[in-house]
Formats: sequence, structure tokens, C-alpha cells
Amino acid sequence: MTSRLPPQPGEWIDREQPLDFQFEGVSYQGYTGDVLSSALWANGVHVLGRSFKYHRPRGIYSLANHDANALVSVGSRTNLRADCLPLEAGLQASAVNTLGSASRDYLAIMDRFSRFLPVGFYYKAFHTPRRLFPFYEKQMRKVAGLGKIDPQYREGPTGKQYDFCDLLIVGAGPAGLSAAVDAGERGLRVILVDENPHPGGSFTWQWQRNAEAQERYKKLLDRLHALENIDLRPGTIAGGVYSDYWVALFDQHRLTKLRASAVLIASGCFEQPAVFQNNDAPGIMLGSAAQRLIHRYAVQPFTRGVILGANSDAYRLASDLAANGIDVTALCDLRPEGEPSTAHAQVEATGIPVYRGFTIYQAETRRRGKQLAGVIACPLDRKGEPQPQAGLTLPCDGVAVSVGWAPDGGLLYQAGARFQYKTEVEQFVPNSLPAGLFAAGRVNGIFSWPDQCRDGLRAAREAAVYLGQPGVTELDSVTHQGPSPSHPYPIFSHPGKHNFVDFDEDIHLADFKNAHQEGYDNIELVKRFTTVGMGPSQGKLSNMNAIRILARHNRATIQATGTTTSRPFQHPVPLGHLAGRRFHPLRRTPLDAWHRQAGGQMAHAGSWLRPEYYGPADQRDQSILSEANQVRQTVGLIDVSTLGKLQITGPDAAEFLERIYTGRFHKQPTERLRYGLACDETGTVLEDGVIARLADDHFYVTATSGGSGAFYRELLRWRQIFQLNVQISNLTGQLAAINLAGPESRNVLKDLTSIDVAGDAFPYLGVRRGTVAGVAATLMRVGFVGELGYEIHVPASSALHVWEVLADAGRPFGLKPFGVETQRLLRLEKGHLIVGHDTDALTHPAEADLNWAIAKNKPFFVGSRSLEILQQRPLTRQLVGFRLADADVTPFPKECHLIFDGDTIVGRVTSIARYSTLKHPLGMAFVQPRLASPGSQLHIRTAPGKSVVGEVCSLPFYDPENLRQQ
Amino acid sequence: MSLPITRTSPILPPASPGASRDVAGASLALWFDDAEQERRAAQRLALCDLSSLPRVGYKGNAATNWLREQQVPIPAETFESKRLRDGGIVLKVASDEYFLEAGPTGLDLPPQVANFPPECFPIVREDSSIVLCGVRSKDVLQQVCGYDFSTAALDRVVYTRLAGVDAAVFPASGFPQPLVKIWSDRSYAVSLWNSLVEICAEFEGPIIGAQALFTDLA
Repeated sequence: MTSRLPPQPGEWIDREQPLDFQFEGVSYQGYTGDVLSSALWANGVHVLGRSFKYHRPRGIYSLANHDANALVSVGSRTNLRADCLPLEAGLQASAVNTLGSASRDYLAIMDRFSRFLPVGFYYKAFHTPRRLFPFYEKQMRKVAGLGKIDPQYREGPTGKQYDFCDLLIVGAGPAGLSAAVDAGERGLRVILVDENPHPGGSFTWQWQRNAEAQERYKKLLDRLHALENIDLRPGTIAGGVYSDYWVALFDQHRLTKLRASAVLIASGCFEQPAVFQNNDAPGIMLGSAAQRLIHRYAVQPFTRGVILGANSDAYRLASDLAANGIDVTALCDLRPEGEPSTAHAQVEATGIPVYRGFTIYQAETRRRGKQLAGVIACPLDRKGEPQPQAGLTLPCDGVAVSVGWAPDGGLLYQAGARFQYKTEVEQFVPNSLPAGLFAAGRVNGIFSWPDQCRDGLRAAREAAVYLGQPGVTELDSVTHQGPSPSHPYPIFSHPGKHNFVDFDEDIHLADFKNAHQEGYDNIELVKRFTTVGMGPSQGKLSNMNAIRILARHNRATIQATGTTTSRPFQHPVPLGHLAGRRFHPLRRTPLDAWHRQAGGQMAHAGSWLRPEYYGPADQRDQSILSEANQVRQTVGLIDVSTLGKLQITGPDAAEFLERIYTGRFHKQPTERLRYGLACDETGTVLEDGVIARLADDHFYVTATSGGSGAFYRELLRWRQIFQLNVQISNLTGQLAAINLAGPESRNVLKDLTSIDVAGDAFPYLGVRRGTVAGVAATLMRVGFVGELGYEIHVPASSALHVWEVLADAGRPFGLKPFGVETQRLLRLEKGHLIVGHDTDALTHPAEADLNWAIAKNKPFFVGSRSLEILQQRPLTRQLVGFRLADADVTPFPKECHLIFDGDTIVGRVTSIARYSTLKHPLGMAFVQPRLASPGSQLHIRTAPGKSVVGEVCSLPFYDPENLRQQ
Repeated sequence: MSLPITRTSPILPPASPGASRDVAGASLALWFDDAEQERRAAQRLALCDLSSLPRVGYKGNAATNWLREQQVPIPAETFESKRLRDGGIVLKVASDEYFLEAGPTGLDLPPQVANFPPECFPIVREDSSIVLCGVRSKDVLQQVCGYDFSTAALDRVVYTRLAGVDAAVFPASGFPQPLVKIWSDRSYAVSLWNSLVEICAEFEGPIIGAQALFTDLA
């Protein structure tokens, strides 16, 4: 480890725990607490990655998750940022986006063609000849992109969690820590998050040599750790702020959906690059990155360096570097007046030459750009333009840039804050915050640590007042004192066109000039044309300079130029965290386990799991037909627990049903069933089912499996509107329902029930209450499948018992279970439609031949007015039955296949069965009325150019006299 | 004499119980492998299926008076609860609706009668009943529910959504460890149970029998 410094106060590495790791196949050693970038830098590895477009070598730049210079793959995980990837024993990492390696990338040849690949080249090239575009696209896709995903990679579900607090504080720097302690000591539930593994923010890199700052830092930490109501979460990113302060927090393991009563953003600033020729060479880094390397990881950033500065931070940096044995060749201050504070004297005392009104014009490299050799510094004229003819060559292996800051304000923008550009600090600062949102510290334009602490206190007090805390003494606002910490235009043109504004996308200064000449004079348009800010860093280091450049081209102010829109996520997050553990609850009937054990082929039916049929999956048609024949000939048993089951009670129950359904119920006798058809206000068929009257004030209603939940909610809505004395209970999951159907069903049931099931005692459309197999049950004589049948409703917990008793009793009669597909076939033979399957969102009763279910002269029911109007209009379609001659025709028609008359669509299939107990295929379809007469030919298009002819039949297909279900 | 087993829970037990008892025609697992271990697990984190306990609902303008006549304590406000004699719970779930769940003996529900007074209607309640208990139960709730249970009052029901399933969650007092009862539509019981089991397993929370919660069943 060639560049490791002696132990630093407060360093994050644990020298007692060395770790072995590999980068691109070469073994190195680092320490626990290192990140990959710091460990590599300590080992003298300065090329950590390659740029996206020109494959230029890149090293450490921000060391703070603000740039995408060093993206690596580790196993199946890719696009990990080496700057914040904790070092682990045995870690094997390699750079993304290289052909070869980071050190020797064969695609580096792209840099030589860079003049032919300006921004927007792909918008303009490759369009002609059009036939070659697929070829171009394939080649571009080969060289584009970052890490490669492993489509075979599977990981267990990542947990998500919800959390809550009074005050969320984002950023645990001087302002955030001060705010958290103050809020915590008031008893507020505080969550304090910071992306770094340790709290402290700039205390841990910028103010390490300031004893007073370190003492304050220690005291704040002591107070914070003493408070149980402060939940400190290091290594946690606030990725997005949504409505009502729903904040997405990401840590290494999961997404936390946090609901905060108030949010305080103390997220700080991103230090900004200066734009000069070859400003991306390895060894050139932000001043804050150099200080992070020294103070957090005890790594020497370089041995001989030049500082390019424009603020007092640059002077503190110079002292820091000198104190750690680094030869600072020069400090080039962009400001002609230089640094007014005492920091200047401290630098002068170290003997570092200070060049006022100077910039770095160009960086010189060796080893094909992989190593910095020196810089050419030159004075600036009065307009701030470099004067290279007066340049100085300064040999060095490193450059630290400290020319200004841009607020990490993404979360504030997302939460509804408005920003204003303040020339006092040459920075956007929030000037309007919605209620419950607060900002403090550097993001608020406050740069000295004592002021940041005061600003944190001020914001915490305001948050406490907002949260209703009593006895809060509010503090005055803090304002920045002294010269601006940011330079208004640290951007210098160069004919070489390697003066990069956006490192992610290799966008250089001339690209902006070109974009502006093409008419892109709005920041949002410039962003999209140049792709500035659209790389993995989301413009953290490029947006502000892009705005400055565009403002200058437009001769406008920065305030007038504006910013681009900030959207979640503020930082990259693993997609696995977003997917997380997902909940897809499915409904199961009480007989679910029995069905599986009996070979039921389970399938989704809406939100339910139901057996389609019983038997091998490769014998679907045979199994369904066999089950259907069993029901027709002897007896079958089906689990219909998915049926909607509603209990309507109360003195106004009958009146309520009269208003909901199209039929009449006031005079419905007890122990009798009636068919119920419900429409919505437009007259569209909404639901159907049977309505059993159990007492004068007690009805039991069934509804379709898929529609019952929505229908229940609709009933609740109408109850509110009608203001009737009625109670509605959804018993769908509380009760099981079993349909015993077939000519032998009565014989199976008679010895198991307390009810007289003889035909005259319990006729068709009767309902009785008694016991079955000793269990309280409600029995209904219905004929959905067209046979003698008993629908037995029992408490769900007793369903298995009743089912097994019925199955045992039916064995001598050959009873077998049948599935939902068999039931669909049987009801189709009987001509019974299924609402939602044979009807759609526009079907009204006349179209489905359901006018018989509408009571005449009824004063009102939901949809009655619409139906009066509809019935005066001619029908445009009708539901009909049809049959096919041949079951072996291929392709065989399917539901929703269209019916044509020539080239005109005249209908569609709603239900179809290839095999039936009637020995021929049959189905139902909506067709134009002129085709609804029996004998009409229907041309069903089954594939392009292929049709099958069906013949319209009268319904029902089976037992038209209704003799079998009586 | 125990009744024949005619009722079953929607949730299949993880293994044959080491001991069980009949509750109103259903089998209630008392413990599975080791009663003492389960008792310790209940302090930390565990899941228990109490769906076998009988429960019933009453609705209508006369429901309150009828229940009072049956010596059932009536909660003052909607969402509040009272305890039945045997450890069961009565919840007021609406101004004219009550939900009753028996205690572990299954004996303390009002008798079912042939004729209820007008405007008092019994409601079949076959909800699944799951207990999540232990000091780490909040960690599990945090992963499945967007409600802040740290501020929830004890013995007051919260209607919310757990793991995508509509549920009534009842943080209960009277237990030595934090304990919430979770009632949901029975048809969703397996989905909800499986989600909770999976998350509890990550925290090393096992499935336990009822004896770990109700010591008088020992």
C-alpha cells in the first residue's frame, strides 16, 4: 500500500483488520472501513474505470457518490460505485464498460474519433439508408451501456419496510447533527439518515484539523447517542420525497417507506469541477475528494500537486495537503483579488506559491492519458478568459479543484421547494418551502461550520413549532458572511475539445456551443439534446456548469435560465430493492388442499385459485368431458365457495333489493329463490345471482365470483344514498358452497340432511335451512349446470367435513368431483351466460336476452331510466348460441375471436367448447341482430386468412324443456 | 366428551402437534416440538394460528341490547373492545355491529338461539385468526403494513392492510409480551400466513401452539 498515510485522527479504516481483495484479477490489500476506490488509490491504482463514450481513463474525482468515474461489477452485481463500495475480504471487482480492462481498454480508440462523435450524432447519422439501421443499432448496442446484467441471477426477496417519525433529517453533517440533537432533546421521534457509514459530514473531512470543530462534533455525537428517540441511520440514502412526506430510504438491505410528519434537509452541496482541457485525467480530483482520502481513509491523494481554487476552502485544502507531506507546487486562484481571510496567510506561511487570477489551462498526461504529468497554468484577462501565451508549466501528479459548490437540493425540489439564485454565494438556495419542509446548512447557502450548526438549530426549532412543540424559542436566520464560496464561471474554452462539462457522458464545452447554435436555448432542451445530467450521476457535477454555460450563451441570468426538473431517485438504487418482496395475495377456498391432493389442476380465476378439472394436465379435454358426462349421468360435486355471498337484513331489506335489482322482491315468499339481475345507472348488466328469502327481513344473495367484491361496495354506496334501514354483510369468505349436481344428487343427500329433499317438499328454486352432515347449512335448489342439484352453503370451517361426508355418501353412486372448466361447459350447454364473461362493460339486458328478468311497471330500480331509453333504440348486437360441425378443425376458434361478414366485423365469440356431452362443439357469441336467427352462418376468423363456419342455434342447447333440473 | 372434529383451520399446521385440544369441534394445537421453547419464542417472536377458535358477529339496531341481555360486556365506542369471561374478546366494529371471538376454551360465546329479536341478526364469522407476538413483532409488522403501530392503543382494533390483505389488527393487553391478533378474510388466510411465516423465519421466529400464549391451557 504505497500511498497509505500514517494514522489520521478519526480515520474510518481499521488498521487491525487488513483485507485481501482483487481488482481486475490483481490482488491487493486494504483495510476494513476502506471503500474500493480508497483501497485501490492506496495501492497506487489510479485508473479505476473508463468513460462512457470515449473510454478515457478515469480515477477518483469526488470520492462521494457524486460521479460515475469508477463503476464496477462484483459477481452478478454491476454498476456499483467504487467510491462507496465497502471493501470486503475476498472482494473481486472489475471495471464496467471496457474491452480488455480499465488499464488497457481496446475501445480507448474511440477517443481518437471523438471529433466525429459530437452530441446528437446518433440523431443525425444512421438514418439512411433505412435498411441498414438494424445493423447500426446492433453495433451501437455492442459498444454502449455500462455493466452487463446476468439474466440468470436470482436472489431471495428483498424485504421492504414501513417506518414513521416526527422529523426526518437528511444529512448528518454539522447542520443535521445540530438539528437532530435539538429536536431529539425536545422529545421528537427523529430519524437521521446519512449516506456515509459514519455521521459528521464535513466534520470528518473538511474540519479535521480544527480543534474547536472537532470538540463540537464530539459533543454533538455524545448528546445524540444519549437520546433513544433519535434513530441514526448511517449508510442510508433518501432517494425520493413523495406526497405528504412519504420518503423512500435505501440502505444496503432494503427500501424503507418512511412517513415523516416533517422533513429537514441538511444534505449539503456537491463540490463542482472546473472545466479545462483534460480536466478528467486520473489524478485530477475535487479538493473535497483529496481531503476525504486523507482524513477518512489515510490515503495520500498525490505526492506533488497543484490546487485550482476560487474560495477559502481551497486555502484550507492547501494547508491540509502541506500538513500531510504533500508538495503543493502552486495554488492557482481564479479570483484576481485572491483570498481575503486569514486562510491566505496560513498558506503563505507554508511557502506555497499563490497565483491570483490564474487558471489551469490544460492538463498534460503521459501513458496514454493514464497518468498526470503536469499542468499549464495561465493568467486570466479581465473578462475571465485564459491567456495561454503567458502560461506556466507546473509538473505534478495531482490537481485538487476547489472552485465552488452546487446544492444537493433534489429532495427539496421534489418536496415542492422553490429555489432562487443568490449571487452572494453564486448558488441556488431555497427561498420558498412548503409547510413541514425545512432546509439547513450548506444546501441553504451556509458554509462555515459554526453557522451551519446555528442554521441546523434554527431549522430544528422551526420544525418543532410546526410539529406543535410548546415553549420553543425560535432563532433568527443565518446568512453567509464573506466572499462567495463559488466562482460564477469556472469554465475555460480550449481548442482541444477535451474540456469536459459532464464526465458521465463525455460532453465537452463545445458541445454546448453546438447545441445552442442548433437552437437548443432552453435548459430542458439542452439537457435532452446533449444528454448532460442524464448519466448515472444525474448531473450532480455537471448541471450547474451547464446552466452557467447556457446562461452565457443566452446572455441571460442564471435565475432566468433555471434548472432542470429533479425527479426521484436522487441517487441510484438497486432495482432489487424496488422490486423487493411483493405481496400477491390469492384467495383459496376451504377445500384448496383437498383439491390439490385429488389431482385438481389449479388455476387463477380472478383473485381465486380453483381446480379447472381433476386429472393429468395432458388430458385436459378428456378429463373435462368425463366429468361433464358424470354429472349428466349420475352425480358430481363441485366447490363453488368462490361465489359471492351477501346477507341483506333489516326492515328495509326487500325495498333495498327492489331498488338494486330489476325484479320484484317485496312479495317473494320465504324459502323461495328468485333470479336477480342488477344494472348500473347506464343500464349495463352489472351482476346476477339468486336471491333467497330466509325471513321477511332476511335475504341471502349470491353474486358472481369475480364481481362480488365490487358489487358489495356498490351496495354499500347505494345504502348510503337510499338511507334505508338495512344491513349488508359480505359472507363470501365466511361461507363455503358446494354444489351437488346430477340425477343422483337427491339420493346422495337424503340420508345426510335434516331437510326433506323430496321433490315436492323441496322444489326447484326452493331454499331450506337445516343440517348437512351435522353442520348448519342453507340449501338452494338451483340448476346452473342444468341438472337436479343442491347448492349447500356451510360455514367455511366445516366445508372439508361436509365435502368428505358427501363424497363418501356418493361413492356408491359413482360421485366424482368436477372442476370449474367442467362447470363452464355444462352451463354453456344449458345456455346460461356468465356476467363479465359473456357480457362486457356495455352489455344491456336486451342484448343478452335478459329482458324477461326486468319486472314490468316497476317505479324504480338502478338503471331503469337508462333502460327505458335503450329499449326504444334498435339492438346493435345480440347474444346467440352457435354450433360447429367439426371438433377437429384447426385452428379451433377461441373466445374473443372475431366474426366477419366479408371484411366487416359483425360479432365476437364469448364462450366456446370444443368437446361437449352433446357430441359437437358449441358456443355463444355476440352478433349483429340480422345474424341472430337460428340457421344463420357465422364466419369466425381463427387466423389470418382462415375462418371456421358456425351455425346459430336457439338456446339452450341442452334440455330446452327444463325437465332435468326440476 | 369432546365433539367430533368437524371444523378445520384454513392454515395447515407446520407439523403434527405434540398436543392439541378440541375447541368447539376443531383441533387447537397446544404445542408442536417443545412447549418450553415455544414459550420462550413467544417472548421474542412467534406466530400462532388461533383460527380454530369459534367466533360470531351480530348486527342490527337491537344487537346491543340483545348482547347486553346475554351478559356480554359492551364496548363504549366503535373499535374498542371488552374481554369475555374466558379470555375471549368482544369488539364493537360499527355502531350497530359486534364481533366476538371465544377464548381458548371456546366456551364463552352467547348461545345460538332459534329466534333472535327483530333487528338483531347473527353474522357468520369464520375469519382466520393469527397471533403475532414477541418483542420483535414490530419488525414483522413494519415489513407488511403501512400503519404506525407504535402509536396504536392497546385493545383497540385497527382496520388496515397486511401483506396485501385487508385485516383487523388488535394489539392486545394482558400478555407478558407484545401481542397482536390479526383477523382477516379466511380465503386469504394461507397467503397472509405464508407471508408472515417467511418474514418471521428471517427473524428466527417459529410457529408455536396456543399453550405458549395461554398458560392455563398447560
